Amino acid sequence: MSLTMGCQEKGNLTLVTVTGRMDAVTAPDFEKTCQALMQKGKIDIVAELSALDYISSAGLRSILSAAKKLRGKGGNLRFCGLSGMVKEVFKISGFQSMFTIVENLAEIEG
Amino acid sequence: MKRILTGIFFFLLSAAGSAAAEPVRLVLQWQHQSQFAGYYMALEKGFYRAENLDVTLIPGGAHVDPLRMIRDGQADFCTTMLSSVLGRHDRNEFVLLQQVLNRSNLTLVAWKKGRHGIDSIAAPSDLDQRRITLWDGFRPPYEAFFRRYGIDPVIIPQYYSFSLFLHRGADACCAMRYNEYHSLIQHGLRDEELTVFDFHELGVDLPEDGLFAVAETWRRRLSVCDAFVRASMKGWQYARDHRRETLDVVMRYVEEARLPANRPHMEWMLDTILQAVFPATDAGWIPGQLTEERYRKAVSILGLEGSEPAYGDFVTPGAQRGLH
Amino acid sequence: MVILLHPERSVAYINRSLFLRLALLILGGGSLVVLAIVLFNHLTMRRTLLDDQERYYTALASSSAYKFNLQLLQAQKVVDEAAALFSALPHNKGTALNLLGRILSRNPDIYGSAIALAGGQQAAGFQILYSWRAGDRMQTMERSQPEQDYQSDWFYLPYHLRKPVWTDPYYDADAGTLMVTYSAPVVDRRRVVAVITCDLSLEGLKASLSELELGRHGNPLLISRFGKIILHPRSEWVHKETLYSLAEGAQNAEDRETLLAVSRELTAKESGSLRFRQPGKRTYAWLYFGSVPLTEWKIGFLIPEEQILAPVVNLGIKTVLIALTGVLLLLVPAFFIAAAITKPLQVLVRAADRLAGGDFEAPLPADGRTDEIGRLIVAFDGMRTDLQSYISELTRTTAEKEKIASELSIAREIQHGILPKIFPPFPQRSGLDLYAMLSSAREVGGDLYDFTLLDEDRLYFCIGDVSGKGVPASLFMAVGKTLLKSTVQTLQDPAKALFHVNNELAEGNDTCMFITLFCGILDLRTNELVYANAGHNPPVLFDRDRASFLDLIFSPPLAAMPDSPYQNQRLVLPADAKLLLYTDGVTEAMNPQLELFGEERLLAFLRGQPRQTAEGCVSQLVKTVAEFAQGAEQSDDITLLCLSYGSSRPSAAGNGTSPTSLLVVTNHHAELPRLVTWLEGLQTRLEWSDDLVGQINLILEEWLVNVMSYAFDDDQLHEIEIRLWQKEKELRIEVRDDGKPFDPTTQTEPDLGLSLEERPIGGLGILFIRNSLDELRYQRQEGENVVTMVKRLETPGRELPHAET
Repeated sequence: MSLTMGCQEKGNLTLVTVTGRMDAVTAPDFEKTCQALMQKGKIDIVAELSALDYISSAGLRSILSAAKKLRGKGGNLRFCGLSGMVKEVFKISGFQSMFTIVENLAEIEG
Repeated sequence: MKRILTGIFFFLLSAAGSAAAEPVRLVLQWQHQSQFAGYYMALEKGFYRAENLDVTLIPGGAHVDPLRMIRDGQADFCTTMLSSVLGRHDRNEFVLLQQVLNRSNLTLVAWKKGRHGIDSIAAPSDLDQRRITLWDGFRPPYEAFFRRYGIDPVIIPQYYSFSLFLHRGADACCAMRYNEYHSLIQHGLRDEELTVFDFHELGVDLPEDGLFAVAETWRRRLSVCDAFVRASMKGWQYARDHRRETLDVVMRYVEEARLPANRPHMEWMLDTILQAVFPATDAGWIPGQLTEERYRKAVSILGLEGSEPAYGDFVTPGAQRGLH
Repeated sequence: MVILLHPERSVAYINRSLFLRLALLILGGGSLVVLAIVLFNHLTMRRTLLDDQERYYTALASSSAYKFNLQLLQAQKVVDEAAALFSALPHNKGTALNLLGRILSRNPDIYGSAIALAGGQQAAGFQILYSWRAGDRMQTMERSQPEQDYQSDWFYLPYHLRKPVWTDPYYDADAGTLMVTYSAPVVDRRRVVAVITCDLSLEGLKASLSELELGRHGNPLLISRFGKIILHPRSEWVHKETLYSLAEGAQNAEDRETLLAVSRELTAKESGSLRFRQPGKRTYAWLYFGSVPLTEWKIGFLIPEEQILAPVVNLGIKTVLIALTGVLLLLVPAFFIAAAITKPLQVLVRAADRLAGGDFEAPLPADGRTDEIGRLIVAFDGMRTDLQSYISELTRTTAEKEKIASELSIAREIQHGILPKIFPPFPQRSGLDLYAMLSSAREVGGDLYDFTLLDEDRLYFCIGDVSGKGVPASLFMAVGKTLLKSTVQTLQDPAKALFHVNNELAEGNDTCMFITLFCGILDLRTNELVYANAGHNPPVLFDRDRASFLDLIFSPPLAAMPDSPYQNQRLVLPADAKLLLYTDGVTEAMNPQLELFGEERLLAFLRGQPRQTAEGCVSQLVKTVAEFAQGAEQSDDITLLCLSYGSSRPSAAGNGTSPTSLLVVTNHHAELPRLVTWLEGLQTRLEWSDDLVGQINLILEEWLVNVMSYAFDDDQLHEIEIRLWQKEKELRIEVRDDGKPFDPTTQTEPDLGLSLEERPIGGLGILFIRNSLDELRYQRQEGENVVTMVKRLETPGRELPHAET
């Protein structure tokens, strides 16, 4: 019922593993996490969404807002491990074409 | 063995030579001072001895007449001013062995604003009708100067000192650049208070100190005269090249004679005198020389044309050539 | 020695040791004060001494000069008189001898005198006559070389200057002394006819100057006109050097400047003093001087500053020595004081160290001091005793507290474990809105509430409050609640049930606990409420603009006494009206000013809550009570139960049939988790796929968030109703809200082709709704937005019997 995020540094990259549900109640947490990373100078972020069960437009809003701020600092927000409902929402919303989305982390690290 | 014998022979020879050194007395025209540095140094550094001369220096003074002393046989040589010799009646009895000071050091020092401090003395013409103290012995060049500039000053005799000038009893006084001029400065007068008429610069350029002997001496003791002149010039050259040492020697003479001259004054005098002995640039003469041209000019300045001794008689060949 | 060898260690040691710091502070402070005094004293003395010496020596120089000037003046007068006489008398030898005699006899200072005739006076019979003292007698001679005399300054200057002159000093070999001569011209008919002089020996002046007390290194100085040095400690300069020649011969520019400055000062001033660096040395000297106007000479005293300041320096050295001795003596008391202060402190420090290690037996310094240290020892001792007793007390009470805490949590678990907590409790009963909550005080009060459907149409509910607290109260509450529920289920009558339960509880009630309780049965078909009360606070009935306490017959609380009578009362619950049951934790909530929340506030609050759900009403009330308490601790349990039963509204989506499920949420985001819970429940019941749940969740969240965010302008709570029908081939959902009209079917779709930078944040919700649905309809009914959503099911859904049937 909640949203949890784990951060892991991989060189310049920061991998954020998102678990749970990203809805109107929990979505701001994602933006807050990204902002905290940005203040520490981590601006190249990859969000691992394979454990994200649910996302609503509030979640997308949070992602978009974070992405805009990151771009403003010269950073980047990328995604991997989309599946099910989340993948569908990304498709419908056009987010798929707006962001770099890969199947798994290896593609980015490679 | 042979070498040793030769050495002993030469030693004996030189010892015999020194034992037979020729006694020579030089009378100076004034008390001991830097003016005679060349003779002190020739004596001090053994230049006379090297010429086998045993030289005695006799200091002069206000009551010493060097020319009379050599004429009377009290001395062999004397230094005195060329003009002093030429101005005398018995001038034909003397010969010039060496012209030591080849330029004039005579000046006339005037209060720039007059003795009352209310008007201005800047040019020779300003001296007209002024009170001027003059040395009796040095009148000819001054009178030549007055004639040249058409000045008719009130002349007051100047004796031992320039005290009357100092007390503002006169507008100007005689001063040797190397002596009285500098004494005035040492009495607290400042250059900006004074106008100095330098005879060398004003064209009344008489040669000054020379080495003289009576003609008789020169004829009979020619080699001694030559040797003496040669050694004296060496002394002057040494003085030029070793000023500090020379000054020390001068001060020794001054102190031994208990004269009131101070060291800075003697230093000034030495520097100034040496400029008159050794020309800085091409001055038309070489040290020790009196050219015929300069002789004629001096005679003319002194107004003695016609009565002067013949150049060839008066000026010995050594002095005609200069610098031995 | 170790301290001296290792400076950094010694500094560390000093920093650690209070004793040393104190000692050093006292010493250092004392030394500084002494040093400052010595320094100040020295500087003041120095200044004063210099000033004194300046005044003294300047005055001395001036007076010496004045005395000498007087002597000169007297001699001058004698000569001037003689000159005047001579001009009037015949200029012959007799007159001259007469005058010379007169001059010498008139002034004993005069050593000799001369009369010199100017040239051209052969008739006089002499040129220059000179008389001088030879012992007691006077001798006269005619000068043998008059020409020389005429050239000398003594004649030459007055003759030409036509005025009297004092000559420069000169050494007279005949007299063997330093002389100065005054010469006056004798003027006759505007001509200088003679000069009359007198010679004065300067020995007298020299002697009187050298007799002056100028100290070992002080020397008199005589400088004639034009800066000539006549008298000076450096005899080699005398008559030889002038101030200007000295400057010229200076060794360096600095010395030269100094000497020129001295000359300038001497020439410019009549008298005064000046300090200058001695040429060739690094030390200073003072020159104090005065003037002799007649000769324009300066008489001065040359004194090295060292000598002037010697007394001050000596005194300074003595003072420093005394001060040093003082400081050394100060060492003893300083160490004593420091030791006296720090020794007990060190003992205390050791005691405190041991105390920190748990040792309470460390010895303390001897008592008996009355100062701060004494008080510190007493305080430390007191602290130690207190600490000891506190620790033993703490050990005891900790065990007790642990026991109490576990009791408290047990009581709370009993209390909460037994209460029904699923809301909405009967979702199948559309129109029934019931919400209850119990907030325990720290020490559990034993409140209770309960509700259940006795059958399909009858709802039983109650609220109660056990007297007493803690585990016994919670157990009693559990017994009472269970007993009552089963009794009501059996008897189907509130009053009878109360009577029965009362007798059950009262029997053998050794603890003397009792329960106030209100219970009722609501017939959902007729809206008739039958209720009975056992000493409980009257519930409140409220609707859009009214709130009033329920009419109650007061009967004793349960378990108070056996056979108490209880009566049923009846009431038809008006549509849209709500009933609020509460315990006295609400009305007796207290704020820090000791005011009670009270019944009036309660009624006022309820009047202002027209269109709230039961839950909204309860949570708002809890919030209001908490605000009222202003942080004061809640002393009693607060329990609330709110219920209403309205006729079910006509449904747009369900085609007249009751929905499969209903969810009512209020208009805040915090309600969203309830949506999720609701859907999860439905998934289990209706065997939905995960995909379907996700889609429905997305649709409903997007719509609800939309409504919550934009539909309401006020800050009131509003209900949003969600009804869901599961059909064979489709799923229908109807959502109602009473917000501003908003038609989702007419909204334009966002431009999905935009890049990240251009993309506005938001606007995707409606897209998702449309995208996931097969049908979307909108109606505006009676001031409400009614949105109907249809989702076709690929695999036929399990159509459940309606909840109502």
